[in-house]
Amino acid sequence: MRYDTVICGAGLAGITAALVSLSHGKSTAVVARGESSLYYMSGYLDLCGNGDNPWNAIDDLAHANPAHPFALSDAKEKSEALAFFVEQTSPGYPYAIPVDSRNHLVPTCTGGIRHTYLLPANAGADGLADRGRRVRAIGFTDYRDYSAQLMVDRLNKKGYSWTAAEVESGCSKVSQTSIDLASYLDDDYPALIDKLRPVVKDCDCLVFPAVLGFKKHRVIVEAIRDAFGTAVFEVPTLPPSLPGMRLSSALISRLRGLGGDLFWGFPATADNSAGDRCTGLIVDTPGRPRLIEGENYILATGGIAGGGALVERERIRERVFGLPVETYGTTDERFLFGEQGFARSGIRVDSDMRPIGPDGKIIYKNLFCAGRALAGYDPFTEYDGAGVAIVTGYQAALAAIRRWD
Amino acid sequence: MIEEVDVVVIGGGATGAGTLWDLALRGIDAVLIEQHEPGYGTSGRNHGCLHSGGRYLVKDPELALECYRENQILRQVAGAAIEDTGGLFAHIKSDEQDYVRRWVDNAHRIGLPVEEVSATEARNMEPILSSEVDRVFTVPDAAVDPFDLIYMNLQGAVQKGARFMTETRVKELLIRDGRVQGVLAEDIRTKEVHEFRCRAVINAAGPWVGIIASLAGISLELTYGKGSLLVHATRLAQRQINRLRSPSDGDVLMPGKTVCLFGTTDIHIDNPDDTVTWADEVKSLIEMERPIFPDLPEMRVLRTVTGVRPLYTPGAAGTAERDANRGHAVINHGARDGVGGFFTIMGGKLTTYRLMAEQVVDEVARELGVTVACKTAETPLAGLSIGNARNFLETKAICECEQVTEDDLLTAAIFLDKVRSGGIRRMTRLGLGPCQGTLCIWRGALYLYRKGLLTDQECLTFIEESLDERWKGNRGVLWGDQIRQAELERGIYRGIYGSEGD
Ligand SMILES: Cc1cc2nc3c(=O)[nH]c(=O)nc-3n(C[C@H](O)[C@H](O)[C@H](O)COP(=O)(O)OP(=O)(O)OC[C@H]3O[C@@H](n4cnc5c(N)ncnc54)[C@H](O)[C@@H]3O)c2cc1C
Ligand SMILES: Cc1cc2nc3c(=O)[nH]c(=O)nc-3n(C[C@H](O)[C@H](O)[C@H](O)COP(=O)(O)OP(=O)(O)OC[C@H]3O[C@@H](n4cnc5c(N)ncnc54)[C@H](O)[C@@H]3O)c2cc1C
Repeated sequence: MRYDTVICGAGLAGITAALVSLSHGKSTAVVARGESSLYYMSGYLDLCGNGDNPWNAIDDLAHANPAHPFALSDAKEKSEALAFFVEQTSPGYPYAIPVDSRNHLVPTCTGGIRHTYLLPANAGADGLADRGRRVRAIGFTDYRDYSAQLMVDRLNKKGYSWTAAEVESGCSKVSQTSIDLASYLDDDYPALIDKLRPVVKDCDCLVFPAVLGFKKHRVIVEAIRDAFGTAVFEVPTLPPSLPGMRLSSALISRLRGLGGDLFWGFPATADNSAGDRCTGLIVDTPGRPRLIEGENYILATGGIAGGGALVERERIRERVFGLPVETYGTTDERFLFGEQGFARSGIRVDSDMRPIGPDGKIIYKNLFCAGRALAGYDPFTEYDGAGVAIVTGYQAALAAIRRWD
Repeated sequence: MIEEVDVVVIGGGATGAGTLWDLALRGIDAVLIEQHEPGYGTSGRNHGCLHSGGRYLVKDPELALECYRENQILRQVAGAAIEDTGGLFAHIKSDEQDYVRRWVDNAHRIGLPVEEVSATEARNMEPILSSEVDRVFTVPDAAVDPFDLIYMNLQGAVQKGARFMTETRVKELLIRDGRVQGVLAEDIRTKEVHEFRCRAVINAAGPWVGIIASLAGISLELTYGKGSLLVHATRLAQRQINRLRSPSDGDVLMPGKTVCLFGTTDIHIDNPDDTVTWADEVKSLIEMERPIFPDLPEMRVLRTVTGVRPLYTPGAAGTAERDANRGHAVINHGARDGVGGFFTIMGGKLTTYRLMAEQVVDEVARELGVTVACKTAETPLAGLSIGNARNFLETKAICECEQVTEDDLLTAAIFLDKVRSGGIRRMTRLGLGPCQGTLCIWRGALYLYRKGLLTDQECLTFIEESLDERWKGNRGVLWGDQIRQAELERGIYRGIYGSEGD
């Protein structure tokens, strides 16, 4: 099998790259071992920084750290990438670019406050923008991974005046996960609306844990809106993350709709590459490894969390091509709020997104890299996870197409 | 606030908890004060071997006999904390041959039942053993869960009217006319000060005994050795396995519930709070596994544990660590330093905690004029209702991999005087499973919040402290699944904390 573009990894970076490639009329295949970080992530798509203006934050970061992946593109390219991405989400799980290009202020399930750039349009009603809004947070007595009261307690100490209520979900599983609840609601959401009637009063907005269905999400949100005449907002829960899964599924449908091929469920390794070119990916399908060849290859395997980088006792190994990995050793004794050096390890690339070695030389002429696999940034302290994945995925695909043309 | 009590026990390790139980059984009114949570110190950072004495047969037969006797007693009175794993001593061809003969001779001399099994049979029993092993003996070693043991002692004591306080640090000893009159202790969070008026103080502060003694102007000759252990994610041996040679680093593999522990190192340190596991310690432990358990280095390491041994070396400062006295010491500071009513109990083993408690309480009782004899060797301790498989089927699970239930959390929260991450973790094992607590720490905290046992702020603090504590054990072993789990966890919790910690 032969394609114009072969992409390894089906996360935000890999799929964005695939969609760019397809939209330029290139035949495209994506090979992925499995779920991406979307399975875990909130569905709040960050661009940069936990402040009001992400664009200033980008400038500051790229200035302070010229090796940051954001230093490889200018604001115009970034805007184009984000606009392209948002357009791709619109048929399945639409996101919207903020009208003023500023970050939204959004709540977390602990009653924390954070900024983010792209919010799901269906159930992302404005976040915390309006302090005066009468918000009622709904929880489920039988869903132990979420407490509306905890969120409300804490937000109200920060100047909000939300209220909380709990109803029984009706899902009969003993220990429910977000997925159990979402699939229950897919089938039985009218029952939920009946249960909500007694507790919904005096409010402009209903806030739910992000479990309002998977397949029927849009229908469920509209039904709630219609029943109560309120806005609806979903707060991310602990994983599995329904917003992330909905987005992943929407992007994959889009990919297939545009004629892309997805080989899902199998790890890939590089074929014996000939000199300075990659010659193929071997997809490890049980019993019958399959060779997939491409003109250009994009590595988007997602680093340590995504599984593309394997940390061994003495080194970090890039699993597919065996690329050199830039590593940073030191860790901080504060787990969450310290700087963890390993987070910045990854693949170093040139301005065309091609992996380079410690000597600065390009490793393969037709290999590009995007997303969390890249070196030089930490999405968890910089709040730029989705931003880097989308922007670099976009860039890598365009660079590959330029080479091809 | 001023309270009156007969005896204040400083330190909630096995020794302190056992002392409180012993005092309670003799009808002496006592309170135990612990600076963090019971099991915070060395008692919560060791192998958990209920030694048969085999390890000390050649070097210190007296200690070996002491261990054997206590081993037999504890099986009777603290059975719920003990798993009768049995133990093996395995000799490797290249280790000293003559040592085996001396070891067997001494076992016969003190009456320790050892029995030789063939190397082949031993490898059938424990496939993790190397084929370099040539001679193997069974011994009556067992596994003891130090947390269960400590909390069982506290539970028993509390039922007899004793009290304990957690997260309260002794800051001052009140001394007048050459006698201890009381202690001042401070809540480590609120800084609230409690004053206790008492007739005697027992210093059972483990590696910190020197600091407590210095509060009375007394100096103890102490050196500190830290020992680190690797915790492997699965139970790779069913019995305690000891390397049959002169006691040295990296001799013991110990199964404990769902994991197994290999260790230890022994490194001189200057500060008893230095429990960071160094990267080269981890490296050397892995190398030490190889000769006797050749497959072990490739097995997943969940975390490291580092404990500190205080070594009392009166008049012998600078002796090589492992040769220093491994037995225990009871010090009556009235006789030794002219500070009456003040006693230190230190050193020894987890295995000998009961005996240590008995000996120090004997001294204290004499001073207080109490004539009731020690009853801890005959009085069984009730088990904890926590971690009981029956409960697991009946109530909701908080953590599947460590089988922690909602009931367990509730029981622990009600038993402890303060609901904090440390006490809950050590009492229930919340957050200690192979998932490293990624979801169950959150779930547990939220459950306690919903029950009104934590406020909203305490709930977040609970989570953050649990993660930081776990990170401490992880930092030294960041490879493979561990680091991937850590990255996912950072992503999840940074996301839900928002700007809280920035
Ligand atoms: C827990 C968590 C929470 C987060 N929260 C947020 C958030 O709230 N907001 C935000 O903006 N960002 C967040 N991020 C960051 C952001 O989600 C990621 O940085 C981004 O999604 C990474 O995308 P990626 O495509 O580069 O990699 P990934 O999403 O990790 O995808 C990697 C893909 O490569 C595949 N793969 C790996 N190895 C192989 C192989 N050998 N062969 C074949 N396929 C392979 C994987 O199966 C997967 O499909 C979060 C991340 C995590 C982990
Ligand atoms: C690596 C290692 C492995 C070991 N393995 C074994 C084994 O397998 N089997 C065995 O039998 N023995 C073993 N031991 C020995 C055993 O662990 C110890 O002898 C025993 O746990 C000591 O208990 P303790 O109660 O005296 O001290 P600790 O458990 O240290 O208790 C002292 C307590 O005092 C508290 N404290 C200190 N200062 C204050 C203050 N100012 N105010 C209030 N409280 C205070 C501390 O927080 C602490 O909880 C091992 C030791 C080490 C280091």
